[in-house]
Amino acid sequence: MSTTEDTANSPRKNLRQAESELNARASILDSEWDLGFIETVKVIARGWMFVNYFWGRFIAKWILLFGALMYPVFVLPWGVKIVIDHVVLGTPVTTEGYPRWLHPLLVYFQGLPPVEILLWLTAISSFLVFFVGAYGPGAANDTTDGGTVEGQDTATAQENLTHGGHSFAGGLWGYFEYKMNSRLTQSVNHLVRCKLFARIKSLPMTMLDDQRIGDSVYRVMYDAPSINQIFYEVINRPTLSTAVFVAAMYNLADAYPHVPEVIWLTAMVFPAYLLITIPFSRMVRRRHQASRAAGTIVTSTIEEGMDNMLAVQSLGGDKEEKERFGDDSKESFKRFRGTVIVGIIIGQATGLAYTLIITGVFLFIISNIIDGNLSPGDYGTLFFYFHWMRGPAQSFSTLWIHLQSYAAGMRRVFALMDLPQEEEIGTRDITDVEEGAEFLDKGIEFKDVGLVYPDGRRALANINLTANVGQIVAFVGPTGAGKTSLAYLLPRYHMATEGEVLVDGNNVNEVTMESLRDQITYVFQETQLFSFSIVDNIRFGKPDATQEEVERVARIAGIHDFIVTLPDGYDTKLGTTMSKLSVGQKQRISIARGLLCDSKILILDEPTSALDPETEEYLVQSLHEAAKDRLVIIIAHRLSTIRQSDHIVFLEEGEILEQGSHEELMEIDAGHYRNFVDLQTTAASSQSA
Amino acid sequence: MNAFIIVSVVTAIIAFAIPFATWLIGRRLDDTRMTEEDRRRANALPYIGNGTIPPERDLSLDDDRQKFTGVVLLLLRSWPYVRPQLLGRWYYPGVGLSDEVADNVSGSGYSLAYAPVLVAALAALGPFIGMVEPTFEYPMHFLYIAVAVMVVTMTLLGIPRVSDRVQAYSAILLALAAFAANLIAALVVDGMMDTFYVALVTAACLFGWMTQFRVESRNQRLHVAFRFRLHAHLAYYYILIGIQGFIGLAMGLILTDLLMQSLVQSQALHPGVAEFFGHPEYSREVLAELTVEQRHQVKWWYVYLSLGLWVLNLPIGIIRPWYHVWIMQRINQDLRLALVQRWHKLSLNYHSDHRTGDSIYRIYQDSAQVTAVIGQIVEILTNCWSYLLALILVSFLSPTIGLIASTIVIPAVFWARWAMPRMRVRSLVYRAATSDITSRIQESFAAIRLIKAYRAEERTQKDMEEDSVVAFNAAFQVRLMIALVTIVMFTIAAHFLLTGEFLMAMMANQGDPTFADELIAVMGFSFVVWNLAAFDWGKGKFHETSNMTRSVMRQWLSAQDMAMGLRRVFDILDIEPDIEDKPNAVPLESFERQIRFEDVAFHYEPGRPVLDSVSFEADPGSITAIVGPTGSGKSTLMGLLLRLYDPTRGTISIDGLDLKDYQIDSIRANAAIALQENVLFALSVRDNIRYVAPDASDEQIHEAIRVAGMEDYVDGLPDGLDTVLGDRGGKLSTGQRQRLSIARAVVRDTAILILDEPTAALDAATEHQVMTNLAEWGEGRAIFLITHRISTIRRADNILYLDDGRIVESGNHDTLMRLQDGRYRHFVETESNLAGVESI
Repeated sequence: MSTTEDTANSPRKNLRQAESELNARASILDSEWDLGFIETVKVIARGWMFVNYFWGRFIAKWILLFGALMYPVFVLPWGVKIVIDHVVLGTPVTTEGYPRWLHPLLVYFQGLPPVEILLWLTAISSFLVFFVGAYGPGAANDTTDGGTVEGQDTATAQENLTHGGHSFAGGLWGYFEYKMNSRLTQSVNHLVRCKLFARIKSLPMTMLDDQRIGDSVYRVMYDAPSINQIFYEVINRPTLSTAVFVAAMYNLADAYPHVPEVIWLTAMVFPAYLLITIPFSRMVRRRHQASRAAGTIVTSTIEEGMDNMLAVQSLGGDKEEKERFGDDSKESFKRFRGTVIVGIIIGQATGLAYTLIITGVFLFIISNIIDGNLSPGDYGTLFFYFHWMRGPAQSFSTLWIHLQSYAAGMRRVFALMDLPQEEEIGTRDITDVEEGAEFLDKGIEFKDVGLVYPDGRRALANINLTANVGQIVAFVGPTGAGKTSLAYLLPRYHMATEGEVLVDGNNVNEVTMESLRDQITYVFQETQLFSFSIVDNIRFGKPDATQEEVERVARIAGIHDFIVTLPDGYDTKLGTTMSKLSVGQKQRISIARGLLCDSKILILDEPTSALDPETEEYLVQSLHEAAKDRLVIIIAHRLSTIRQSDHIVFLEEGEILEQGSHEELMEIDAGHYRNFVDLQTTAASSQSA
Repeated sequence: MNAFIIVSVVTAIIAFAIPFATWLIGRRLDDTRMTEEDRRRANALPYIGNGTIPPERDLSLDDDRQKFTGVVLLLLRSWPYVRPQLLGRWYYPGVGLSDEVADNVSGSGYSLAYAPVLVAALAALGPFIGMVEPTFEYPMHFLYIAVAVMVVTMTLLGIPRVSDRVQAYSAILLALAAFAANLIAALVVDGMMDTFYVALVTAACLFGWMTQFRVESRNQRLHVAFRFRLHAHLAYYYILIGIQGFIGLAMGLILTDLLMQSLVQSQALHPGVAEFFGHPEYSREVLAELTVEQRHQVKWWYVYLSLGLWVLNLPIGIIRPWYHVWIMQRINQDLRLALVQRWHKLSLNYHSDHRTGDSIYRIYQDSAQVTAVIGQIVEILTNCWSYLLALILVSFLSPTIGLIASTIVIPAVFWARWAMPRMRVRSLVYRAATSDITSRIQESFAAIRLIKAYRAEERTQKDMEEDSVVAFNAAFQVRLMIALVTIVMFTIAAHFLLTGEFLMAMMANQGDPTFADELIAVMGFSFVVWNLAAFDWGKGKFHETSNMTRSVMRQWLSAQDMAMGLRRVFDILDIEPDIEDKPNAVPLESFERQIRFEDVAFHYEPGRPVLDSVSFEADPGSITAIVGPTGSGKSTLMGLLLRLYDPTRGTISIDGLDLKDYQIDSIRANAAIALQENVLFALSVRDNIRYVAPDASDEQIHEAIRVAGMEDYVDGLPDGLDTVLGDRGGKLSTGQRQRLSIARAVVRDTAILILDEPTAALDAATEHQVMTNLAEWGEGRAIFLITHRISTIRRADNILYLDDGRIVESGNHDTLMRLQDGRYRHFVETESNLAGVESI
């Protein structure tokens, strides 16, 4: 009687719901988070494709690994045997029972006194210690591993994955293998990290508005390292496990040809482990995805809180911020424990299989011993072979379940890589103009343009507008009228969903973005500066600008006089919260930054909102100067700024209601613009009149 | 051979099919296009070389501040975060669980006086009833000495009036003695009962630590109150390990005896084992040998017992790893919170030089090091102990070999003295470099608009890739240091091993007598002379000493890295906030009379005054407008009122009391601010509005929305108030954001409201409405306005015209307009002229 309501109330369903919510909170862009079998295989296969860049180093690693694995199997036991048999017990040296390649040495040893044999062996061992870091089994066998201590959540458990190397040898071999292995791992991570960073960076602005910074940081730093493990998992693990398994099995079959049952029983490990672990694979993926999503949320919370410390402190929000962080951090720890629990369950389930198999092997061997078919001494030897085979068999058969946790991280990497890029819909440069003509002779034109956001909200409709070089155009209208959205269409931060936006006669969608944006400078409403020096902030768009050029635009923006009073002048570092500057000063620096770019179109989004009237007046005068060979578009509320423009576009609710010069628009009786102006002037002058 | 061939062929086929099939699928997914750019990235790091770190981001050995003791102290500084998990909290029956961390041992009148008696009784009872052998010969004297130390230290702990210092030493000594006694009982002394005996004594000590009593007189009658220590998770965890070890050891002994003596050979059962299975007739005392049928029967016992052991271990096997993670996460969480809290307390001056990515890195990677401190210390101690034990044992066979084994320490110490400072420096460089790349990525995404607008994509990418290479190089050098140190250490140790083995093999070859043959005979071995068994045993112990030295070296090496991570955390925690509550600070309950600035001056850097000689008053119910050119100190003035900074001269007082005498939190709780830069968080609209007023009701939220004039906007949102905003309020226009932050300030319903350019991005109509609403709402509150808009300024009761940090004019609009050549008047006229209004 399981109805849908029943399942909705079961804890399992609730867990999945909670995880879905986590993933939704972590990132809006990456909504399809659940991986099925086919998708998992695809994700793994795509990760494996990165090997194409690394074949040389990868094969070198495989060979080194193979050598280091076979060396203890085939070389290490013999030295000890010679010491025990011929030195401790003092039996004469024979070649019997030794592999063929050792015979010349043994022949040489024949007749030597034990001291000399021992001296020779010690010398050889000493050489082996330097060369491969091992001369016998156990404590005389070194492996190389440079891992550092890690924490107890997914983000902090990535460091060894990111830089890790390993060698089954020590000495020179181990040193060399470790170095190349670690460098290989890092190279894969560097590639994935840089590629992912570049891809996220070139997502369209509309998508980036939805993407939390912490999520991007998390993916680049902590999800990217999931991919490099595929290298070792997909080929090294199966092939090398098989090699060791076959070697052990050969030795067993050679020594005990009459008990194939031990081989069959051990081979049971493969199907048993596989069958036990496969049902858990989706569970592993989900828990790991949830853990990563929860980690992303913590990262976003830290990022947001720390990046806005001014707001947090002045709003008195430190307690709330600490609580918010504390809850998110707790949640991410909890989700990490989710992955730990699955791991434990799988461990215990395979442990049961292991216990049953080893019990079977035990019963078989011991019965044979009791019945006298095998000698008591065979017990230890057979179990030695059993464990020798079981290790690689186990490693091989848990390959799939191992891959699941990496698949979770890789999916998160590929999910962002696969989003449509804003790059290159266009094919030609916008500056390719006919002979004799200059760029932007034809001005800009909006033809029946409309914009609907991905979530269905309409921002703009039926926009028709032309403007030319030498003009100052003002976009005016109430808050939320779509002024910024309209301006965003020109540099293609948003793409018009209807109609055409033409720049110099070219549809902006058909030209390359680089050439388009080189010609448009956009000064944003929110003034954002970088922590580096003022001069570098101003020349952000034109790194090769001279000091004179920088000072010229700083004067136009009315910030030069302030800058020179600073002890370090233009070289003053701003720091991250920029508490040294007022908002007005920041605004002026960002205007200077915009002015420095010699682009034909300059868009200023509310450039004067935080300026005092005198500075504003000065700036507007300067803009007239700048507009001589440019097209300047200003988005403004201030009448004082608007009045100075040649062409005014009045927007409301995404549509152009009126356009023309100030005088023209003021003549319209009960016009929207006139209304707008009247409101401001009455407010400003009612008392001074 | 058939089985061998079939199994090998099948596994080999699968082994090669997996990568091949993956490759085929990968190719089909059209992800195989290799670009030149990616090829360059794939080869950006050296193949095996060290790579370079720019000198300005590198450190030299001179920068190594911590020596051996420094590292130990750093590790010990994690104690306050470990403490709550180890000591737990007291549970008082009838009262409940205390919130405080419990006392180290005892206190507040509660006593564990009964415990020493219990411990002593158990310690004496063991040998008395023959549970353990009542002899003082090897190895029992070790055991009895350790147990005696436990009894004495426990007695010292039980006496109430012993000084704290003695108590602390006793506690440490008790822990060490208990550790040693358990180890000796488990590893050195044969048999089960001694292990059980020591476990019992230890349990009695723990019981005393966890259960304490107090005698109180209630209504003239004596009454005994108990209390219990709960939530002592680390203690429970190690008890769990102890239990698991004990079960494993006990069952292991039975199983080994059963297997090796009775099944593989055909000896009758050990009397105890026979008893255990309920077949005393199979005992060695009754039978000499088992028959084939009997062995087949015993074989099943073995199976049942090992399966039973598996079942017995199952719950612990499930709980233990989970429990460990859970405890360590709690420790880490406390440290993370301490970090965040300290950052919030630090002033903006500090934050202006601090990168956000660095905080992410410190909170994650650096603080995570605390999770390993306990484990690492326990392991190092265990290893040192095992080293000593193995050293003593091997010296019984031959003092020469013992001497060799003990001298491994000398090169190890020299090697450590070379390696550890380098490890610390490498670790710091690596942590700084990785934190830099994190910051770089964060900053790039935070500035993505600008990067796109100014075509800086390629530069950003190049900078990021350079940082990434440096971070990888730095990480590589740390790990290479670990690899190098362990490889060299093994090479040294291996040569000691070779020397030792050479000597032992020669002695065995000669059949030399062993050193302490009598003692060895007592221990139950037959190594009177050097033979194969002696060689094997001696080699085993010798290898152990070498292994332990290497392990300690490796662990100490990791500990350097851990300490450096912790240092980066404690470096933050050590920064004293420059603005802190005075010890006797009082909360600001409400604002009733007056806010007063008296001759206030402030500067960020000496010699560059931001504010100077500022004096004014503001009363409840008044609106104060602060006007002046950009950069004249308007926002800073308000920052002083919120105590984001302290004035460098003069005083600010509320209701006659200096701001510095109030608790900072209470000041900020009584003042709401709407900022010039409207910071919203990626929460729902509702949660953004009640960001600092979590208890605000829906009614209050709606009222705030109404005052901020954004009802129509909120109504138009797809999920209304529950619409989640993007990062930093993503999709909202600036005007909408501005109104939202006004709503956020209004909803707090505080007596002081500061609006820092609240309407700059609003159109005139909206602004007019918002200001009207605010004026009406602001009855009885002190409102401060920073603005350039004359329409807004005119509403103010008092206008402060600020220039260059000084108040040059103050008064209401009409007064100021009457001043000929007044600065304010000039300001108004400029604005009006620009706007085209004839103002005369």
